[in-house]
Amino acid sequence: MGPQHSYSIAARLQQVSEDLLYLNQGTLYPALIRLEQQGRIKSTWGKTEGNREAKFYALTKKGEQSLKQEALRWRRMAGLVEKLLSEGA
Amino acid sequence: MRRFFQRIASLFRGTQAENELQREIDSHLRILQDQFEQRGLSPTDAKLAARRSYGNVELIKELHRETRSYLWMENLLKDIGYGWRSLLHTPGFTAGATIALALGIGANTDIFGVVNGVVLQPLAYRDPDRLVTVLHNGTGPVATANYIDWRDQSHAFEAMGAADYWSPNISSNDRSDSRPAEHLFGLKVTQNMLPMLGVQPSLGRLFARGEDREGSNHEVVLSYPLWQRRFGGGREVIGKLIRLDGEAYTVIGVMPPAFKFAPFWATHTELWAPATLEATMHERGGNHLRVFARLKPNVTLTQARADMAAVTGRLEKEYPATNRNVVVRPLKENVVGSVETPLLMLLGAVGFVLLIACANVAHLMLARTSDRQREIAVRAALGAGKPRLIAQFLTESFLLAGIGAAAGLLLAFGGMKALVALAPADVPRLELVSIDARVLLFLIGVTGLTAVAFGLAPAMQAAAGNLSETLKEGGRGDSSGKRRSRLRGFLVASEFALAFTLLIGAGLIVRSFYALQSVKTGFNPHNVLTMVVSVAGTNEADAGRRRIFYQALLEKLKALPGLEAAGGINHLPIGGDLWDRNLEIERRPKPRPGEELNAVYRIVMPGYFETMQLPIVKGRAIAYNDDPKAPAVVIINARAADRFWPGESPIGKRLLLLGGNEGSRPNWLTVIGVSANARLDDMVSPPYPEVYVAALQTPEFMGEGSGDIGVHMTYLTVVVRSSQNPANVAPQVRRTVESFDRALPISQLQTMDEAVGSATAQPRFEMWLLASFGALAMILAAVGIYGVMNYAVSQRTREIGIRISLGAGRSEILQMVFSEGMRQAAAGIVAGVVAAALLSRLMVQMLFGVQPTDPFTFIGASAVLLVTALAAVAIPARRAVRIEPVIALRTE
Repeated sequence: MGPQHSYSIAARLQQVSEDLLYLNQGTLYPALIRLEQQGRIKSTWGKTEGNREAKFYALTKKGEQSLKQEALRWRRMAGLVEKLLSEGA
Repeated sequence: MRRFFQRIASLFRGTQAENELQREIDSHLRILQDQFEQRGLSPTDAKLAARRSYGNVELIKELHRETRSYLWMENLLKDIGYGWRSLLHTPGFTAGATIALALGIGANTDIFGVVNGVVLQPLAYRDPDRLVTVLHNGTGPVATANYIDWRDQSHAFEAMGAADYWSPNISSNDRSDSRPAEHLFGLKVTQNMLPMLGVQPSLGRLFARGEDREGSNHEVVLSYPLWQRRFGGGREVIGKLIRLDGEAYTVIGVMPPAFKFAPFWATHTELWAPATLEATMHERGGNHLRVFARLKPNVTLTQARADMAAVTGRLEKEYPATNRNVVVRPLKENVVGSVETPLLMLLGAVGFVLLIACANVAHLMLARTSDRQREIAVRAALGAGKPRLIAQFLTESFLLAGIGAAAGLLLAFGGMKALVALAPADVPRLELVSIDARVLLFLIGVTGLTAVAFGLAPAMQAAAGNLSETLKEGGRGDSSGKRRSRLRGFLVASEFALAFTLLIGAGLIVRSFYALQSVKTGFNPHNVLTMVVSVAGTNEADAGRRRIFYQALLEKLKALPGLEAAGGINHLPIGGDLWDRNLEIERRPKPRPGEELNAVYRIVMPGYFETMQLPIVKGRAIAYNDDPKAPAVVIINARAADRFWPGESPIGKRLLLLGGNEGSRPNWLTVIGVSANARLDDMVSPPYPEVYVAALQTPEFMGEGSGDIGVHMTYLTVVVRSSQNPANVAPQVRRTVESFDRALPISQLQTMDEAVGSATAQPRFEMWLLASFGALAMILAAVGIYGVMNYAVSQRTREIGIRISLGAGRSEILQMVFSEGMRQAAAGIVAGVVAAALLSRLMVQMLFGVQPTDPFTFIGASAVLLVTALAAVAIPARRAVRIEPVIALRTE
């Protein structure tokens, strides 16, 4: 999935989560800004399929790495919580 | 770090980021609208639907902005809040650090304020840097003919003007005016002098061309304070006639409030009148003009000097011995030159105090960081990077420095008032000393530097700690602990080095002050009251009357109860004006040009030597019967006797004073006595030959002579000796003068002790400031070493406990603590000796009767500091000895 503009990111998230997760632009924007400031993504202006102008966001090298790390961390955490919950029950 | 800069950058790129945002939002709305249109909505409906589904555009923008720019600020606010809380947690630390910083920063602000006002502020004239003085030896007056030739023959100057000392009496104009007569300080200036300064009068005008010619020169420009004081500040003063020395002058202008001229000599000037040079325009002997000039644009000081050197070189050939040592010097140098070095030295000294305070706060911070090792580790574990931790600690430092600076500013306001009040009267431009924008900027700068100075090392140390070790070892990072104690040792040593250097400075100044105090004035200044009685413009000024008045006044004063003697002189020694005359000695060849004999010229009334208790070591004093009918007599001082008649008795020898009224019959004076040497002006200059002539035999002094010189001889300095505090007899003395004529102005009423005191006022002031800085430095250094040793002992409680339980005696423990503490102090003192030996050379100009490497001062300062260090270490040492092994082992 190459560079995406923020509307399509929101749409994609909604689609993947089967409508469970709907991020409005008010939530998504600050998140994108922060990621960009952290150097995890970078943005460029481009054209959409409908030939409309839009800002496209793409993962940087650093972003890919931290994605891996964060994903790992999250899985561990989730697994841990799962374990704790199932043991405690 | 990059994020940090990005955020800061985005603050400055506000509008660009804003446009970018708008563009992105527009593009999304457009895409949404496209989708709605594909679903079959009309363009208008699709647009509305897009907006609806997008949500609140402004709210989104707001969120965007916050994220974009305020995150770093939020971090900062968080750090400040956190720092603030942690400072409040340790009130003892915070209070101690605040006091040390407030003293250091406050004192620095004050001294910088004085430097700023006195040295840095430009003179209040147009292009003041282009103004120069052209004077003999840099400050000495110039003869009229020389001034005129310089003005006409030089090319480097846009204008060259001259000023002459003038002190007229102002008397009331009519009977309705009840204000007493007043003796004023003024200047006679050439017509171009005031315009050259480029300051416009706030009322009226300056002198016009031609108004300095003889006969048309009775116009006067007033200073603002004189206008307010004597004329009530009314505009109708312009055109008014006032009486100065009995003659009518028209007021043509009033200068603005801040205007001062001349700035380095005759500084009490309150009015200006045109100087007529016609009477003295051919004179090359009587030096009395001060010459000022403005450099042409594009002419440098060096070029001007070369130009003047050519002019004076030519004149010197034509008129030998008249144009020597003519110095072109920036006006400002003459104004601030004498105080610049002492002030900069004080600024350096007070900077040292601040450095010591910084070192103190730094080891307070270090001790505190060790106590906070765990907290730091926890923060690091939670993801705070090193830069983030350093930023956090520096924020605390800045916060602390800020609190210190605020307290320091309060101190500075009070201190500055005290400084200006205590400063010697001859420090120029003290009225410009205030806490202005530049001083505040200095304060902010110093505060920032201070924060970095005391905060950076502890912050780095704190962040450098090995996180996992700290957590494991329960708060004892051993490796970094060693580094920290080295840093602490270094801080203590530098404190002692700085304090030592300061103590040397203070000690040298104290020694020179006492050397000055022990200088003999040559006479006995105690119980002597002096004042200037001016007869100009009064009935007593007239020929014949003045002679009778002076004698009657002294007789009447002597008869007052409590008064033992009374006398008079033209100018007092120490603080009085100095006139000199060239002279010739009977039966000696005329001296070659440049080798003329010269002496200070004093005119005395009988009773002067007796009143001042200035001993006549040979011969007799001047008496009332040394009058015009008797042979003309003179008394010379011992220095003159040695120089003019080496190896023989001067009594009965004759000398001739030159430079009087040309053409009159030469007046040979017979030496009848030799007096002891009296100090001339200040306490430092060596004695100079002096001649004392009899006032009763000096017609010009009595208003009976002809010629110009008498114009400057319209006053008598009266000296009286009382049997009690001379200040108590002042009212009686004043009433006695007034009983002759209420129009007689009395000025400069002071005791001789006060006059002598003001001659040593500057060294006394420097002594007090340096001594208090030295004391402050010593206290701070003592607190520093105490704090460090105290901390070291408490850190080693367990170790010491073990040693004691293993049989170590009191003396071994004491020796351990003392040797550690004293090693640091001694290292500091050794470094201080080197630094002080190098720096004290810069003080040479301020010292008197003591060498900059005075061994007594160096040994004394080392002893004082060592004793201080011993005392400071003794307290923790006592604590160490009293450690109970059982309790010590139980701690932790």
